[in-house]
Amino acid sequence: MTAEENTPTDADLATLRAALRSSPPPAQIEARLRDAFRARAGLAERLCRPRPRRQRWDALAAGVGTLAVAALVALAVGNGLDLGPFGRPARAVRDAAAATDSLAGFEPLPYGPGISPSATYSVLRVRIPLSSLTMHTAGVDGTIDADLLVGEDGLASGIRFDPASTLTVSASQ
Amino acid sequence: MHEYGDNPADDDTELLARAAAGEEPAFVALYRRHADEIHALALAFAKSRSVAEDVTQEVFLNVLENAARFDPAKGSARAWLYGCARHVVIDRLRQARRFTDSPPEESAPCNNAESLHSEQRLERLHAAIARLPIAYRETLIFCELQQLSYTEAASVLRCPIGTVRSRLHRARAALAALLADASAPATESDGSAATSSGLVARLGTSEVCS
Repeated sequence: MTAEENTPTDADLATLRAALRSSPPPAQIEARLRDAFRARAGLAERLCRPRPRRQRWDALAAGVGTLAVAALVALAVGNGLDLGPFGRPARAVRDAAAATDSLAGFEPLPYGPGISPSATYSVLRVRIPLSSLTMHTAGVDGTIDADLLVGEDGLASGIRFDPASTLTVSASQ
Repeated sequence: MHEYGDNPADDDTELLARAAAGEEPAFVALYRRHADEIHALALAFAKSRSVAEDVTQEVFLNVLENAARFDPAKGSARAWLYGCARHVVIDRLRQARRFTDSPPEESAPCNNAESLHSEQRLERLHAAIARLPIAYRETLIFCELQQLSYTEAASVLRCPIGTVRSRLHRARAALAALLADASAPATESDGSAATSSGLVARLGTSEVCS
């Protein structure tokens, strides 16, 4: 075979080109692609469809609720408030302005910054297990509600036991 | 009734835009217009019908995902499709380690000596193309088999036009050497085999354009 024969001619390449194109892709590929197109279009439609009004309000309420919970957690944990002795999560945060109007009944916490009438506080309602008040309640089960006076620095300054709360006590011995 | 793709005004760019907007007939028209050449391109690279089918499907799935991102200012829709196909097929080849030649999956039955000779010659040619380093192989396939213009090939390969020309010239020379190697008798092929191997090895140092 001569070198000329070995050189691919345009005719050889054209023949190969025709051979490659002689077998089109199977029809199933088009069918699969159509399915994929429809699935994608359906998904896009669902994502873009406006929600009913009620669902939107529900979502808004859920969002507000989530933010409120996040604020509670941030206040209680992120600001360094030591809830260890009380051991229970906060139940509510009252308005700071209302709290400053009723500082009466709050006792300053030992080793705390003290209570200042001019400062702004938040009131954090907690439920305390009596077992954590170790001095006089040893062997007594139960809980008591209390309000914690929390300053803007996140430190608890005072505590007030809720006289209206129901004290559930049961002797363990 | 108007069919997408029948009207010359339905150019690829418009079909891509309509497909991106969710018009299934436009997507189907685009597929029918280019599926054969994408399939042939993948077949030329991979020499495997199953790989070619996978590549064809994947290319058009990519079109589904990315049609909205096509920018006509950067090149033609055809070049964009070919660029997508090039990436898919090279990825697939890398995965399968099929950079070297491999036996054909299927051989058409030959009825006579002339046809057999023609088939064998065609098969040798395809096998020799498959042995070219990828940068030269893709240049040869795009320019000679897919008949892209130098400008289109440069756009797809992201190379200067001069690089496309020089690679095509070298690819043809290497192809001739490989064919000579394949057709020479065993006793005489040592020298030509060394020549073609050396040529291909030298070409193989070239990197694929991004």
